[in-house]
Amino acid sequence: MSVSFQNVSYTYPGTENGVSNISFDMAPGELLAVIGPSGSGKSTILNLLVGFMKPDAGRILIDGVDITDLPPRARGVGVVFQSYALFPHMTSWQNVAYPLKVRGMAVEERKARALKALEAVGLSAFAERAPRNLSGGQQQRVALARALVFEPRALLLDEPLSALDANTREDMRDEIMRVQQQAGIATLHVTHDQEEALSIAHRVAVMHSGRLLQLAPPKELYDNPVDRTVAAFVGHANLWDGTVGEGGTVMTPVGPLACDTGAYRPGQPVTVLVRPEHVIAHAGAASAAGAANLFTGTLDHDRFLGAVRRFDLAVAGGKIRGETRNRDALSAVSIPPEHVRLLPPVV
Amino acid sequence: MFVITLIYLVYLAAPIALLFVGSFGASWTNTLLPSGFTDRWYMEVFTDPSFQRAFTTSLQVVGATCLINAVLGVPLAYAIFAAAHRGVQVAARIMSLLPIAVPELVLAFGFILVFSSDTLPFLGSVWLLIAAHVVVTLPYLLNTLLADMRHLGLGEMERVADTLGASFANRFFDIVLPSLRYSLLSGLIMVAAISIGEFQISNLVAGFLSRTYPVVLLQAFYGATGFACAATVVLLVLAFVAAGGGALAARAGHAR
Repeated sequence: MSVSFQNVSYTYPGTENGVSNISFDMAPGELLAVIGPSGSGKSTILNLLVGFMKPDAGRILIDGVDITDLPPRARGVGVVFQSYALFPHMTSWQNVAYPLKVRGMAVEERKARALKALEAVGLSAFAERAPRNLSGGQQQRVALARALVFEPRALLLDEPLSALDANTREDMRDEIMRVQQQAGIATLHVTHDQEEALSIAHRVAVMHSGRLLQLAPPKELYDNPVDRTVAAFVGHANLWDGTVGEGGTVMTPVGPLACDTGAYRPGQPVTVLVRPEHVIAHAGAASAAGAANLFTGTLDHDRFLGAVRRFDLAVAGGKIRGETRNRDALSAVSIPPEHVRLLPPVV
Repeated sequence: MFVITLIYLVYLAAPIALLFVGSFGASWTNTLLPSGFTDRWYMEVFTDPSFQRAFTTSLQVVGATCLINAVLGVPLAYAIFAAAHRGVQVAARIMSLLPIAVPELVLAFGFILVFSSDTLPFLGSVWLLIAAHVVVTLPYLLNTLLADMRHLGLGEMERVADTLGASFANRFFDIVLPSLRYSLLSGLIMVAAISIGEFQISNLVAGFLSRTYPVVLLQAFYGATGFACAATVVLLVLAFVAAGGGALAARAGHAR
């Protein structure tokens, strides 16, 4: 089942905030994550798709059917909220069976269906428990089962993992992916956690100031961000304002860098992106003889993060951030030309 | 701190204890404590026709007040809670708080002015009395219900129910009402307790045959001390039963 946003705009009454001209398509079974800072419009996208808000312009389609003017209950879209919002006066199975109850299903049948849905999320043993007697992760699973039991046409996840502790969150992340794939249902996952988005989504949409900046598979988003905002938001990055020079170089505040300038012509302003993990650390200039884009300097920040070490090397004109497994003293870095990316300049 | 608490408790409990003692005392004039033991005062209270009638009237008024509160309160609280416009919410809150802020005497005088006219000659009817009790007690129920609605996150639950396919009626009867059952119960028992003890408005608005228990009780203060004590104890027991029930309901609600 597919979901389609066509030139959708919405402005919050009395403000200039909202989303403008959003268009994207979700394939059946696709897991699409929407990320962006607070106020970027990612929750607005969700509210528009659920039907809590009506767009000022544009259309929203599910399976080619225009649902723009339908109320939430007629859209057949399952939602898992950040707060779970289980009904406290109902047991787990009654919560899960509720969407079937309002559809007029007989009690034996809906109980059987609810128990099956609870089994799918590994909670068969908790069917008779009240929500208050379940852990956060278990409540989340009940909410997931409830959102899927009526075979919705799309699934929406609104920061579903943000209230869980780190370990439970990773388990639930896998669980959501598994259940979503099993159901084969188009899923929109709204999150502020880019790692979560990159790790489970087929494609990731980056929102900023109400606009959809880029929609791409995680690897492409990380390797080829369309602009500085996306590059800065997704992962860590060295970002410099630069000018394309002659003969495959780009001038940056830290000095000239050899790179593939592609279609950019000499004299053009650009944004230069180098991911920290592509920066190679050296003990000193001598040990790095012959390396391209070699810089020497002094260690500024130096943080040991376990598997890796993240550092800033202060060089003439600025800082270069790098990541390395090398635990020795450092005084030089080199940047392989193939890992220097040129993006459009900031306007 | 302990001593102060103790003194305060004694100060609070002593008059009530004296009432009990007095209600069983055979004679009590110009002494600290009554002398002799008798149950005649209670017998007199229970057989006095005006007290009997007042007792029945009070129960009728309390019952009707609770019923009307329940029927009006839940939809009204829900409407205030769900009102999209903040202005509507503020206006509704001011309206609902007004009867608490305005002295009951003022309210009663207003009732007398309006309902003693030829166009609305309802002064003295039991229905006007019930209406007055509803006006005075409804804000307490509304505030209890509204606090619980916010505490429960009812808005989010309703949004979820909406996405799950529930109609407005489904949501109201399956989610809103069951969620509010404890606060409705404890709110209504508070309403009952207030209604039982209500004196100011009842005294001015009630007709001679529809006087409530506290209004008639005032007359007893001019008679024998033992009789007055016994009549007051009866009212006290009624109010305690209501308040205790409210506390139990609130506790059951917390245990959810």
